[in-house]
Amino acid sequence: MNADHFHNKVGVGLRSPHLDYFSQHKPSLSWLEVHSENYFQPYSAARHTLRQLANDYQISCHGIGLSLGSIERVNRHHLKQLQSLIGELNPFLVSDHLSWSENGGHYFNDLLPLPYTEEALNIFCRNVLEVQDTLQRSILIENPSSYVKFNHSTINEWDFLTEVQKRTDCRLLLDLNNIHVSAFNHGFDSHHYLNSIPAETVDEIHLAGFTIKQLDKGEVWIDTHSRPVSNEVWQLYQFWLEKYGERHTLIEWDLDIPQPEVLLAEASKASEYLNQWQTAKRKVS
Amino acid sequence: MTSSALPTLSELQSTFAKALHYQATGEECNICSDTFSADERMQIYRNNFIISLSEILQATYPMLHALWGEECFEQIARQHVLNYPLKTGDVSHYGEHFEQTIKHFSAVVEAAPYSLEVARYEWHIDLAQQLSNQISLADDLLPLAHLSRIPIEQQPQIQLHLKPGVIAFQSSYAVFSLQQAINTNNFDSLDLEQAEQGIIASSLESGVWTLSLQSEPYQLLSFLQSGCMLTEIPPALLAHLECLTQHDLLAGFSLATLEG
Repeated sequence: MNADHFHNKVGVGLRSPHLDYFSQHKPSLSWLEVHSENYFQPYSAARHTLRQLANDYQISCHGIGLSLGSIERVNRHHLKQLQSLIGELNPFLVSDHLSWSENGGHYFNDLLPLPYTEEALNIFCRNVLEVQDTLQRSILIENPSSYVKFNHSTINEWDFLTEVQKRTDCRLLLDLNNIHVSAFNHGFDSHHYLNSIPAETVDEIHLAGFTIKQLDKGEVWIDTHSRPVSNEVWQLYQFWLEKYGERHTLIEWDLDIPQPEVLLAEASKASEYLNQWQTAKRKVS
Repeated sequence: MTSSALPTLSELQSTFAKALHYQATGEECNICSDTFSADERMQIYRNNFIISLSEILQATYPMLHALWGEECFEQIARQHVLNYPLKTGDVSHYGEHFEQTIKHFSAVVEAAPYSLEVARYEWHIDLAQQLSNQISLADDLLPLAHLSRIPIEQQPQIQLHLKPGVIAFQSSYAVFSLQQAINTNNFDSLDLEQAEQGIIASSLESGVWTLSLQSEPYQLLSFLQSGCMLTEIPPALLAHLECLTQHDLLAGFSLATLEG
């Protein structure tokens, strides 16, 4: 793989089947994103490998278990483990989701949907502030994909996310695939979503693939992260670049994980979009 | 939650958690119905929840998955996910008490009576990984090379320590051989009814490995695992210390305080 293949804003989600490949081949990306919880065990082989990779790559710690939307306060043990990982890796980004995954001490290993109400907003912000206070840094909050709406929601997701940012001074991570999937499932306009988010608060973009589930009554789009990025999501990315400019951009692939070359080809494609945008920008100026 | 009042976040999350376990409906979670009913939409989350934790179980119990086949494993895993909650945000070691779930499937236990022992074996493999991942070598242990420096009068106090990810395991079935047979897809010489004992070990350097042992080295391993001093171990067994050191199972030694 030629070093010029990858724009320095492009990274990939590093998953355990690829740990050896990245350790041995060191593809010329500048950054990698890991699921923080997979590296919590301090003496595990995975943590050891990641420690070594952190010498060659910038690392982003992406959480799936802080459960920031839970009515309960953030689990102190979980936060302590995250703090230890961050202390060791010095990641340039730390993120988690606009969702919840824990109730009454039981975890569900999924990003569960929040009702977008004033109460949920207060709780979510309380938890984000607590995490930021403990970690002594801003975290990024990612928009989820969702399959339900609640009757008592009173706020649009984009307004909820914007308000979280305003109240906590956190940063935002926009997953364009999640927006595309939720837009279909709930019938809103993806471009309107993007235009409603204060662009200057967005530090990272996620790109991934989704699956169409055909049911008797119609389709539901599921955010499986198991396929290449769809053309429509690439178009959304192009829209974002043209209107709001470059951001750290991640290719995510979490299920049916392909050969590393396939993942890297997607990273090359994201790099092409960024390079073309830069060329076009230079011509204009 | 009453149908007239809007649910608080606390009520909603509690009801949603129940709905994931089929103990409440999507309608009770105040989910909007449109083309799909509220419960049909809820079902997507139920499926994600059950599938994601079932995949973790499959990674922890690959032998049972191979022995039972996909459909049977899925059914039992589903039952386990619905009855045994995940209690941390780190999913890597979900799956304790799987043998308790298996016991409810009497047809499976009757057709494959070794299943409970295989489950216990595979959970101990996971436990060995957990121990090696979470615990560092105790830094107050003395290296084995210093054993010869211990004066004779202190030698009764010597206590050898196993590395954190080393477990002695004994079964009424030939689980070590079964694992080998599954890995090599060669079941020709397998006598499953034969009791076996041995080592389950995990370390950063070697990963996870298992080895069946003859009775005496296994007994020595068990004595060490239980924290016995050298003087408490039958001398005949100590002849097998070399076997344990060859496999790099010893972390070091300490001098125990003698009582009385």
